[in-house]
Amino acid sequence: MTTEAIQDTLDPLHPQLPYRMGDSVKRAMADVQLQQFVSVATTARDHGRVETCREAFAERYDAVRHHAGQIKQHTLDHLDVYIEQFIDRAADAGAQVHFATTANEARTIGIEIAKANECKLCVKSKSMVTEEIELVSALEESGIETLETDLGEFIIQLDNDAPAHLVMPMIHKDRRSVARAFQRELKVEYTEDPRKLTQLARQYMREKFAEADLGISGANFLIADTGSVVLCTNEGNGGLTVSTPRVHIVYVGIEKLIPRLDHLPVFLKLLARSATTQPITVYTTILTGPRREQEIDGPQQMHIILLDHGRTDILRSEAREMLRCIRCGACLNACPVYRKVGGGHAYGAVYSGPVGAVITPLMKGLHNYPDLPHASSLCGACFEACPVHIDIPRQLINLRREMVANRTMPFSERLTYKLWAVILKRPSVYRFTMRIMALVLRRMAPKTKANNSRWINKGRGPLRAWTYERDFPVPPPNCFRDWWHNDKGQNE
Amino acid sequence: MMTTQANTNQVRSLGTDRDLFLTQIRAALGVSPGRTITEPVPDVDKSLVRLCQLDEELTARFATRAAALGTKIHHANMSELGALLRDILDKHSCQQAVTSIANESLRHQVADILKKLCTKTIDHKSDSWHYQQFCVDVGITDVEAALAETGSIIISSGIHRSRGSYLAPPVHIALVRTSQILADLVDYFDCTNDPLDRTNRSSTVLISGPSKTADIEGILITGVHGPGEVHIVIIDDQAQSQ
Repeated sequence: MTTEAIQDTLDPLHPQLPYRMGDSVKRAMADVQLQQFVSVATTARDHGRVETCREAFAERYDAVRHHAGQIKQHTLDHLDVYIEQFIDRAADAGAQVHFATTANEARTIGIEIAKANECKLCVKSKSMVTEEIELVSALEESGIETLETDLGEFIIQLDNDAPAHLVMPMIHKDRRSVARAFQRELKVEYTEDPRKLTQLARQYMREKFAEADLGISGANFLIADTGSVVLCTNEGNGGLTVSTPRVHIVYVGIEKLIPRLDHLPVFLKLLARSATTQPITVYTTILTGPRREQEIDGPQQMHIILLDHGRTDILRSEAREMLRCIRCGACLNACPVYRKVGGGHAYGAVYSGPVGAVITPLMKGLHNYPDLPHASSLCGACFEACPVHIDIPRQLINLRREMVANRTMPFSERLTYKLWAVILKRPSVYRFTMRIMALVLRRMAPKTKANNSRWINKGRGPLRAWTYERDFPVPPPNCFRDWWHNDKGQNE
Repeated sequence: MMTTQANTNQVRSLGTDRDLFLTQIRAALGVSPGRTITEPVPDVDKSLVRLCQLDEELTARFATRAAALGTKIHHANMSELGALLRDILDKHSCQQAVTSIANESLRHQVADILKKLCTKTIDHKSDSWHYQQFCVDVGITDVEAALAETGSIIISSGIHRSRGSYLAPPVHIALVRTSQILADLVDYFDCTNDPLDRTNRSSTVLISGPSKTADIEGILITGVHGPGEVHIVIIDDQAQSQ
C-alpha cells in the first residue's frame, strides 16, 4: 500500500475513537518508501542533535538539559502566579488576552475576533495547538479563507493531507506528490524541482500576505515578566504572518510560560539544536503587544488566546512534567517505534511519538488510546534526547500501571502475566516450563535438511506477528544452566 | 486602534472568565489565590550555558558564525560603504530599495549613497508600504545589536525601523558596527540591561542567516519567504590598536 493510501483516511490525526493502531501500523510497515523516508529523516536529525549539542555543550549537555527542565518545572509548579503576571504585562503592552478552556471555546473566540474586525483572508503560521483544536476547518466554515504559510503545511493543506511529524510535517511526502498537488491546485506546469516548487509557493503566498487581514500564529514561549510572545521559525512566514495583517491572534497552551526574559537563552540554545540540529532558528521573534503608535508597520491589534484543553488535568496529575515539553520533536527522532510505524499518522493523534504516547491518552482518555502507552519498548532514547529532561519512560509505565488497575488490559494479557508471575516465583516450575516450551518450539521449526529445526520462519499464535519479518531461533537441546552444571570449567 | 470598546467587550465575553480560568489552574495545583512564590525560580546558570566567552575575539567569531549560516560578510569603513553597496546592488540587480536605519548619521549617509547610485527609494512611512514591501528588491537596515555566539543580528521595530524591510525583500543588507557585537545570547537577554525597552517596541527579531526550509525531502532551500540573500557589512567604529 502506498503513502497515498494513508491520505485516504479521513483525517489521520482525528480518527474515530477509541483508536487502535494495528491497521495503520501494518500499512506503514508494508510501505517501503515511507519506511525509508521516515527512517532517513529521523536518524539524520537524531544524530545531528547529538553532534551539535556535544559540539556546543560538550560534557555539560546533560546538565544543561536538567537546568532547562528545572526552570520549566518551577514555572509549572507555580503556574498560577506566572500566568497572572503574564496576563497583566501583556495587557499593559496593549495585547488582549482571552481564555479558552475547551477547543470549541478557542475556535469560537478566534472566529468572533475575525468577524468583529471583518476579516476575510487569514494567513497562518505553523502551530500544533491550532491542529489540536481543528481551527482551520472551523474558520473556513465561517467564511474566512485560511492559508497555511509554512511551506510543509501549505503543501499538506493543498494536498488535503495531514502533518506526520511535530517539526517535519511532510516527512512522509516526496517531491512527486508535491508536483502533482501544485499542478492540480495552483494550475502551474508540472515540475519536480524543489527550488522551482518553493519559488512557486513563495510567489503564490506573497500575494496572499499582501491581501490578508488576519494573521494567526502559535507561540514557542510566553515570557511572564514582560508579557511577550516568542516565535521561533526558519522560513520567514512567521514574521510576515504577524506583521502584515492588521489583526494578529496568538493561540498558545498555558504550559508555554517561562518566568523571565533572561531565562529565554537557555531554551533558545536547546530548542533548535534539538529540533532541527541548528544552533538557532533563522528568525526568533519576540512580540510585546501590537504596534505602537509611532511604529511603521505591524498589527494594530494583538489577541492572545490562552488554551487549557486538558492541560490543567495533566497539571493536576503525576504527569505534570509532561507540560515542560517545548515541542522540539527530539523524542520523535530518537524513537525506534516512531521510525518503524512510519511517523505520526499511525498514532492517530496530533501529538505523536513518545510525548504523544503519554499526553494523548491523558488529554483524550486512556480508553480512547489504549495502544499508545504500549507503543514503546521503554528503551529510554526519548529521555536521553529531551532538552527539558522529561522522564517519558516513567510516565509510560505510570499509564500502563493505570491501565492494569483499571482493567483496561484484555483478559488474555492479564492472565498471561499472572501465569508468568507464578512461573517466575519457583525455580523448579520455571525450569519445567522452559523445557516444555523448548519442545514446543522445536516442533514448530521445519525439519528440513537446510533448517534442521533451528529456526521458526512461520510462527503460530503469539509468534505469528514476530515471524512476519524475522525468524525466531529455537532453543538448543541443552540450556546454559545444564551446561554450567555439567561442563563448567572442564572444557576451558 | 481599530477596535472600539464595544468590540472588545463583545469578544471577551465569549471565552472563559479570567477568574474562573485562574481558579481552574489553582485547583489543579492545589493552591489558594493570592499566594506568593516561596522558592525562587532557578537563576540562569551562565557558566553552564554560555557558549561565547566575553574575552573572545568577538568580531572574528561573529563573522565566522554568520558566514557558516549562509550570510555574506563584508568589512568596510564608511568611505568604502558607497562602493560596496553599489557592488551588492548591481550583483542582485536591485532597482528599488527601502532603508530602515535608526542611527541618524548612518541613515543620512546611506540615503546619500543611494541617491548617487540613482536607486529608487521606497518610503516605508507611506500608506502604500503595505503592498510596496513586496515589490522592493533590497532592504538596507542597521541593527540594534549582533551576537558573536550565533552570528545573529537583532533588529527591533521603531520610528525608523519597519518590520517589512528585513522580511519582504529578497535581499537584506544589514549594517553592523563592531561596538554593537555582544558575545552570547545570555548577554543580550541579561535583565539588568532591559534590552527590549518593552514599552516602546512591539517587535524584536534575532535574524540568523537567510530564510530556509528543508520540508521537501529534507533538501535545504533558501529564500522561502524571507530574504534568500543576507549581507552583513561590518563597520569598525571602535578605536582598535593594531
